[in-house]
Amino acid sequence: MPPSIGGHSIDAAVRNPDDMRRLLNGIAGRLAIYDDQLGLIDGFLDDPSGAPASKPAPPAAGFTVTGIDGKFEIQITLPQDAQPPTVTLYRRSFLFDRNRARADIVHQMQSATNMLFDASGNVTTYGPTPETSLSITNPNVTLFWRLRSSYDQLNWNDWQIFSSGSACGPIGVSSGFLRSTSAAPNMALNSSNNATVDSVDAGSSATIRVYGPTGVGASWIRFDGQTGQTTIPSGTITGRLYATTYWVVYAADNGYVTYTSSQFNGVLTDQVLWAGKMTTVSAGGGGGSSGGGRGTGGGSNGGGTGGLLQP
Amino acid sequence: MSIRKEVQFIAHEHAERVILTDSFGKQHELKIDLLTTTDPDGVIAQEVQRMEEAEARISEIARRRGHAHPAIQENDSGGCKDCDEESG
Repeated sequence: MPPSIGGHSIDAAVRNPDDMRRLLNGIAGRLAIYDDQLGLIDGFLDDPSGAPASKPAPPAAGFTVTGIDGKFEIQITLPQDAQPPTVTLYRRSFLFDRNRARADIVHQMQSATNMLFDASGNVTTYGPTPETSLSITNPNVTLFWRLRSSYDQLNWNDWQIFSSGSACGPIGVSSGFLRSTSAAPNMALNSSNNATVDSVDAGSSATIRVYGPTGVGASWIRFDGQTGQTTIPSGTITGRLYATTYWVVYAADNGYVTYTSSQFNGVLTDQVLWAGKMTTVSAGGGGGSSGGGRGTGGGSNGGGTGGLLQP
Repeated sequence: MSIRKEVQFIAHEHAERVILTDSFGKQHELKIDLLTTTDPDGVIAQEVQRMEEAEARISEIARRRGHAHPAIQENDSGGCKDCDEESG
C-alpha cells in the first residue's frame, strides 16, 4: 500500500500540485488537532498560570439564563468547554484562542429592565466571580441579562446580551412567581403588637396616642411570625377629627400616619407597620374606642391582648 | 439632662414630625397637623416636659440602684481634680 496521509497519496503529491495542496492541508489539519489536544497555541505554554498576562481579554463565554420559581438560574460555559456544533466549526476553532491552557476566568453579569442597560434600566451588577453557576432570587420581574469575562479584572471582553435562538435576538427573561409552598404558612397575617392606640380631647380636636404596655410615652413592640420583635417609639398625632375611625400605621421614614376608611388604600404600602384601628373621642372626651394589640374595642383586634390585628 | 428635638416638615401631609429623644435614647414621636393644631409649640412643650419628668425619675432610680450610664454620670466630675477645680 503506497504511503499516504489523511487519504492523500504522497506519490501523487510529488507529481501534481493540486494533490500536493490537498496533502499539505491534511497535514496542517492533523497538526491542528494535536495542538488542540496538547493545549498548544503560538508555541508551548509551560506555565498555565502565567498565560493571562499575555492575553488582553479572554474569548467570550457562553451563558444561558432561565427563570423559575422567582429565581434566575444562570449557567456559564467556559470557552474551553464549549462544544462546537459542527466539525467545520471545530476545525475553524483551532485558529482562535479558546483558553486551552485553562487559565482562571472571572465573569461579571448585569441585569436591567431594558435592553440598553442605561440609567433608566435599573441596572444591577453581579460579580466579578469565577463561579459558572449562579442562582439569583428576584421574584416576578422580567430582566435582560448580559455577561463579560476577564482574566485579570482589568481587560474585559465585550458585553454579550443573552439572546434566544427562538426569538432570534436579545430577550428578557421572566423569573416567575415564588411558589406558595416556598413561603411560610400565613406569613402575611401572623403579626401582632402590644400597642394601645387611643385618643384624648385636645380642646378643638382629638389627639391620638400610641404607646406600649407601661403607659403613655412607652415604646411598643411589633411581633412577627419568626419570633422577631421590632421596637417602635411611642407617638402622638394631633389635629384629628372627633368621633372618627382611623387606621394608624408607622413607617420609619415618615413616622405615624392616620387614615380614614376612604383613604384606606394608603395604608397598604409595604414599609408601614400596623399600629391599630381606633375611633377618636367625641368633643368633651367621651366615647371613642382604642385599638392595637392591647386595645379594647372598635373591632381593632380579633383576639384581645396579643391577638391578630384585623383591619 | 436634656431632651433632643429633631423636626421634619412633612409637606404632603401638612404636618410636622417632631422626634424627641431623651439622654437615655428613648424616643417619642409627635406628628403635628399644622392646619388644625392651634398651638403646636404648646404640644411639643407639654411632651418635652413629660419626657423630662420621666427622665429625671428614671435617673434617680438608676442612680440609687447603682447603674452606670453616661446620662447619669453626665453631671459628675468623676473625682477628677482638674475638673473639680475648673468647676470651682
